[in-house]
Amino acid sequence: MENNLKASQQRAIQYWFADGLVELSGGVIALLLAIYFCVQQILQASKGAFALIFLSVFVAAFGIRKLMLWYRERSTYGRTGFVEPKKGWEDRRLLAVEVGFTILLVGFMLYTIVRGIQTVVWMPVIAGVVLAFLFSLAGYRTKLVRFVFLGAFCLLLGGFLAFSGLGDLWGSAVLSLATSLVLFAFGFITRIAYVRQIKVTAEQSDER
Amino acid sequence: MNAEPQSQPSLTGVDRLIHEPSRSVILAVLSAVKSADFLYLQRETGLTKGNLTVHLSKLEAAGFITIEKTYRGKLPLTLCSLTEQGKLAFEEYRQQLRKFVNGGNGNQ
Repeated sequence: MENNLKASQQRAIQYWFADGLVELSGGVIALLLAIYFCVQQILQASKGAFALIFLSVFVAAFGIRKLMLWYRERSTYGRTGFVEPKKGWEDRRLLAVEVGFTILLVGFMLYTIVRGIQTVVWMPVIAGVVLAFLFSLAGYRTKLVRFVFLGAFCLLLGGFLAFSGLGDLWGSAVLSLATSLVLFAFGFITRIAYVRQIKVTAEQSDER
Repeated sequence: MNAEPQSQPSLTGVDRLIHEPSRSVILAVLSAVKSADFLYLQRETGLTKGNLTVHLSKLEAAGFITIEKTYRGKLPLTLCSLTEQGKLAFEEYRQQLRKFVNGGNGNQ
């Protein structure tokens, strides 16, 4: 009985990621970031132009999220229902961890700027740490192993790229590209499993 | 000679309204999220629309959940969420259940 209740709670928490759309849209955003880093590396344009490109990537990421939610309303909610997850900041422990991590990161960046330490070569590993933190948090909240794996992958790849001699921009581009590919793979696998599950459920209800 | 019989935990004191399997699943789902709609709860409990409506009405009448009829885009939604009273009642119910399973010590 207790296990059944726990399983029901777990399924409800994981439902936000059950249709694979979050990973697929995350993959597109990571791909856009990879393109941005490549463009910045290849073209020698002014800083203002790069700020504009980065802003358009940011706006595109927002648009992709909106598009994902729009598609989800039509494809997922009508088939398997709607669940509104609890927000991350509603859990005080998680909020403390998030705030602590942000303070540490900003503090580290400020320290390096004040001390004049060159950190751009460490951009891939810093990006890897941030991504690892975000994915681990998602993995902890949902108990989905694929996010923990993704977090470890980003951390290891970020560390490797920082020492690979590729440089900050190429390194960040490779990290973003690799993350987007893994997200696409997870998204497609999850999507296929979700569609199959719907088909099976529909067939079972037809037989009743 | 015989040792005094220890007080065994029993399920006689549990809230009967929650102890029904479908209703406890509904409360478990709603305790994990902010809100869930009728279709999701129907899939999770495996109940028919009529049965689920009856269970939800009972929980609403007890003040454990709130039911809101709304729209998401063009989709009509019947959204259910747990009230503070429902949260407390469900937590108490689960504690009693754990106590019973663990023979009275209440630990997991």
